[in-house]
Amino acid sequence: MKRTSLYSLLKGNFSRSFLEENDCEKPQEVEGMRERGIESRGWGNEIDDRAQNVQCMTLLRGVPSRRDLSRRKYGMWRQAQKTRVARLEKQLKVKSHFEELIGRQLEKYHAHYNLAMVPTRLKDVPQFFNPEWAPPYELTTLSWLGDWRPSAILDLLRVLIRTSSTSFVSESNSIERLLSQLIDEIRIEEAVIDGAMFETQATCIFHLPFTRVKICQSGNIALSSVHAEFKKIARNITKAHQLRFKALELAVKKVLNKMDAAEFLVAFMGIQDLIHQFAVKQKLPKGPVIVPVNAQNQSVMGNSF
Amino acid sequence: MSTSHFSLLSKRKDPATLPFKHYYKNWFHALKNTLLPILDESLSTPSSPTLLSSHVLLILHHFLSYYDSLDLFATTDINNLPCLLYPSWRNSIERPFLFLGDLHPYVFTNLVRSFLDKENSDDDLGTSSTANVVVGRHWKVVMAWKEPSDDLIVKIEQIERGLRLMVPALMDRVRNAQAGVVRRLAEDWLNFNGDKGRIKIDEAVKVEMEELVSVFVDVNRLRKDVISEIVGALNVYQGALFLDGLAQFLVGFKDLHLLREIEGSKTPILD
Repeated sequence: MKRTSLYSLLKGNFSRSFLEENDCEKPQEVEGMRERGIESRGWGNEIDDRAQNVQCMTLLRGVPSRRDLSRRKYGMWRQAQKTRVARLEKQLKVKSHFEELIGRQLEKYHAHYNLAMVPTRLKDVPQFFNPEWAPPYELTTLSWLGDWRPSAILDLLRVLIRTSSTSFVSESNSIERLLSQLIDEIRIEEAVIDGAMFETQATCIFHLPFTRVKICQSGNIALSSVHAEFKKIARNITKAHQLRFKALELAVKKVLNKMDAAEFLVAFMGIQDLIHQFAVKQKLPKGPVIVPVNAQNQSVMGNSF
Repeated sequence: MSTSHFSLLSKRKDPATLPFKHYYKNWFHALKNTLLPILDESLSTPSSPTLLSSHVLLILHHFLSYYDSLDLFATTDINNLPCLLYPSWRNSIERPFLFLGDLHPYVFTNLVRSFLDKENSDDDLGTSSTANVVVGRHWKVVMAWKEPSDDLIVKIEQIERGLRLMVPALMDRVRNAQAGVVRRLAEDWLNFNGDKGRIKIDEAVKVEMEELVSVFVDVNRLRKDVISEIVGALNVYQGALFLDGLAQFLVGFKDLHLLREIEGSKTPILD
């Protein structure tokens, strides 16, 4: 049996905090023991005579309840630690799964914007301007070339950072500065795509041979002209989708920590869904749209019929 | 008895009401089958400038009344705006070229530019779609764009400059309106912890729609002003050719054979 100072033993094996936390033998008591003739030895010293051992036992018998208490407390502490560690372990697994979920969500957006939503055939192009999947109300509210404006995605994030009283607030000043810079950059890229799109829409009158003479002469000329113009538009749609994904990726990877990123993605999806559900319910217009009578009278066609 | 008689009357279809797509169908039918042939005939056969001028005014007012009607639909009920910005009555060829629900205002100045530039170059007639409209026409019509006056060129440049200032401002307003609704919804989202039932989306969307209606009315005013200013700056033959070219351009979009080919096409669009 090894004999050591109880304090040294505790000091050597358990944390200081435990010692402070649990009411075990304190240095003063050990000092008191020393005064009473009990030598305190270092860790690993042999006990060489039984008498000393008995003396020690006798002396310690004076505080049996304390030792029992320490053991019980140690057991309880150990059990509590085990529970805490198990919780931590669980959280680590959840955190790892959490990060995986966010990564997977981004991958889904990448696949959606950069692969699934890219027009591949001539007939796909018009669908982005009156898509079956989004009613006109939703398009009016949000749409820019078929989906969210990239700058609006970052606007959403800016509001979340500014308004939130819980999350989103850590380092909010530096994040806001970074975000403002990103929004400016994204708006410039948006304006470039807008410019290319408007150029196509504005100059179509030069390129589409929509005179009766040409269409009668050859449908192929008209088809190839439309094809060439649609191709320009398809490129703009593709670039718009790429920019949308870039805005999302910047928000999630560059600006936010994982927890805030998850909250942002939930809000992004939630608001989109909110608008979609609202737009579906509108079903506009239900009855005939009213044309004030003077609108009809103003038109010269009234005389033509 | 008088009440029931009244309600019976009220159930009758009001002759002053019409779904917009029917209005558009009638408007387009009048353009294609009535006004364009009249103008075309005036341009092809020797006729008095007065008669041609009347036909020019007819078709001009037809275009202007269309934009007035769009405004009336939008302002009568702001909830009509989405179907005017994304009109189901426009076909697959037209939709990608629509800018805020109709032709981009630059189309009008570009059409004039195509006439002006054509006369400044000795290009073959067959290479320009708009130039074909002069083939087989009265000589005064054929010569209409020869040596356009400096005043005309200056005026057209002024209109172009005005457009370059105004169109980007309109687009900024659209972007800000869309960003505004996102901001309002995001604030509500946080205030109500994502509880969709408590978020007042109708209020947020209403504010946005009111601004977009205002943009829509402004862009239509711009279209009307540009068309009117262009026609005002042109002589009667030039004006007739400009409006004839515009009408033919719109009619060309509706070619059924071409539409069938586009809608059935499996041709890859990107390389």
